[in-house]
Amino acid sequence: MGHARNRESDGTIKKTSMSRRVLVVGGGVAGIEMALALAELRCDTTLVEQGTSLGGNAGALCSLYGFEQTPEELIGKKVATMRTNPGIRVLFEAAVRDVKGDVGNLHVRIEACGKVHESDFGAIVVATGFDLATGSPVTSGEPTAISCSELERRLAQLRAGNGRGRSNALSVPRNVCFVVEDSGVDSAVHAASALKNALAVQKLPKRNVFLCCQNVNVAGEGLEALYREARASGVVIFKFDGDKPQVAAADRGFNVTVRDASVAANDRCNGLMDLHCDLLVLPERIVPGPHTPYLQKLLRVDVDSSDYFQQNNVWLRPTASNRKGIFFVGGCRGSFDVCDILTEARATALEVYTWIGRDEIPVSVGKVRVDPAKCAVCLTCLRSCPHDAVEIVFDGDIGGKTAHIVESACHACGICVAECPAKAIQMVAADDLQKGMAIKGERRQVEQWVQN
Amino acid sequence: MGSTESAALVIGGGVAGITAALGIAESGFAVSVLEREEDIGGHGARLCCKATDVCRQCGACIVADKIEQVRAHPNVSILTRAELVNLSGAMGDFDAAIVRDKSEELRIRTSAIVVATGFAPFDARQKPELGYRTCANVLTGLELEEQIRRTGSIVRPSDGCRPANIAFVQCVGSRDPHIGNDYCSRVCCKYALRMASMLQARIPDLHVTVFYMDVQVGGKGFYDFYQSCRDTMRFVRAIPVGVVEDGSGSIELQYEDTTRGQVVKEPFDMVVLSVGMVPAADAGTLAAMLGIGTNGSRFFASRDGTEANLTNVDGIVLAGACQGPKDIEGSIAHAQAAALRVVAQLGVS
Repeated sequence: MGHARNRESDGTIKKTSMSRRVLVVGGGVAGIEMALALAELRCDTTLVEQGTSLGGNAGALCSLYGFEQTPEELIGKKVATMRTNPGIRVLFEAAVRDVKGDVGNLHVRIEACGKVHESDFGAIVVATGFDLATGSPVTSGEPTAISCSELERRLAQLRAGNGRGRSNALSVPRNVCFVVEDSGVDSAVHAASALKNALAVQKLPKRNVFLCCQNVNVAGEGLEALYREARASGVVIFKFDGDKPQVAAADRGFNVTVRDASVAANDRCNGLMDLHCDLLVLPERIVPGPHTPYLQKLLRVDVDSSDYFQQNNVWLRPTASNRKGIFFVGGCRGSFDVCDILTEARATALEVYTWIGRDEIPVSVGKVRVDPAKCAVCLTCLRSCPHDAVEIVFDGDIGGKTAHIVESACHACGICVAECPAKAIQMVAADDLQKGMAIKGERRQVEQWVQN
Repeated sequence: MGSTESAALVIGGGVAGITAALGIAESGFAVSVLEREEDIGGHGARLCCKATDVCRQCGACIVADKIEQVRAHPNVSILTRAELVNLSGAMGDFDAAIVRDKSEELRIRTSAIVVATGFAPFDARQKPELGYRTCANVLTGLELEEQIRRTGSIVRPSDGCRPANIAFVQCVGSRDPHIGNDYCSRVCCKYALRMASMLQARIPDLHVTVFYMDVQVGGKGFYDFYQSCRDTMRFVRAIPVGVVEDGSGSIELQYEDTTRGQVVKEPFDMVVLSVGMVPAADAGTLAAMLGIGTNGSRFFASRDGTEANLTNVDGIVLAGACQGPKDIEGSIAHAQAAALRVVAQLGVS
């Protein structure tokens, strides 16, 4: 990082113009909050949404822990505020088709309802959310387990129908078991939503609720209280470690066998508990949104080891990307807690505002040079540059094509210098030591880049 | 009595206060930061880097970086050894009375106030059964961080020897209704596992045992790291109930081995208590002075779940762990969101 600072400070700072417009991609809770926060800062904002309505995944939920409002109310209010704000333009059924141009002036082609819109943007905020993996998560055949979101839908129907009647009892039967296994970056949100829904079922009359999980997620506002309330109201919680619970279809339901070490002492069962339930609830896995690979290529940005946007460590600027002026917010970067997402969006809005408010962008001028006479136009530099800072241009002096460094995008990382087979690219200001550091520091990025 | 004007006043110079101040200053407004201690930085500046062969994203280096940035910023003035003693006025026109060096009185007229007074580490003496301050080799996680930051070496206090067998005890002062802390501190799993993994990288064959209730696996990148920790550390789902130190400095922990249903005793060279976060000692006094509310856990209360920065008083916003436990990354995001509110209030060109 110290090195990165040197690179900026010892280069000549060139003034380049900056578009004051911001593009937000995705109209879920992260994108909505982003647009609203930008509007508070009087930024001219365009939000593109692929569907015909706003709200995204959170909008489909029935309740949020830690909130008194339902997601519908929460999002409805925000959308209403957005509608009345002249600074926010929303394009529905829209997709980003192309991104060209320099840092500070990203020229974007958007297709919306068959029409093409082209504009320059100073910043792009990606808020494309996540996707739910489809397919039955555990058992095959009948009966099938249901997902947490299906349970939420049934609970909402029950609430609407006052919870009486035979069909209601069938939709959420007497004995309900949740099984939540740690699965990755989405583990925490599954544990919290299982807890929330387990309590909701337990509050219905005459229900027995079991929750089998590895770790109860209490690392969020109000979650420890929710956990205690669930236990106090009768939700039976089993915590398993290495051995995953065994699930088998049984007479009109399921048998779940779970090993909880803390009941092992009350022996005769060696900690193995057999539970019978009429309904089995499993979280559906959360996966990166379907457009992630497309946008990754288009924007030339990094993803992490789980394929969510953004490398694992962008120097603790949580929402920054590897490209200046491009940011990630919310589910698309693996952030699933609504409360956290709202904060994240507002924090990023200020960062965007400060970014587009600049009159000048620090640009290393003349730090990397191509010798057109040596350039074989093999495109190695074009492919290896992580910052999209190489273009192929016509050079009048040699009367042919050559690689050319786009200074406003160049970080002077030295990767093209190291990769060029013809040694046609030189770092002008850097000594060998600095080059070595740069290459070492960015090697991982290169490897990732080459893989992609 | 000197009187100055400042568009915004930040109370507290920890990582949240610094971040909020930088956010406001970068947007072109003058901001004053009040810090009670000799220097800014807060608890974050006491932490050590926990990188192994890779960065573990603990954020310790970020604090040092931000301290440098805020000191150099022309729009920020920093008042150390200074405390707010009274506040009058309302949004757009607050009048803050400040005492510096316990005697010098100052007044700052300001439009907006950011409260960023942070947290206090839980005082482990409230859990006497864990042997803190009675056994030399029982340390808090924060003390171990400071030791490593200051001396660069990992030794146990009683004899200066390298430990070969360390226990981490989680949830000390968190999730504990008996002492009135009915919440998760959100940072202890992370800092303990990062610390443990760093110690394992530096001390060959170090045995680490983690006593825990639930591991909080949330946060980008943390789940994979936790899985890798399970390969090199022993995880025991139990919280020790007693500590005995023998003559050689060895610590005997008593805990319930739930797989056998017995209380067992096990010796360790050193025990690290993962103390949680509690509200700063004078949070109640400050809340009364500012007219803002506190929540059930005695941290400053947000207006509601969707507005984590706003208080019940217009023009006074919250930043960082004074609102509830947060790690460095979380404090930075929260503080930057607080700065957004202030900038929006001050008006943008």
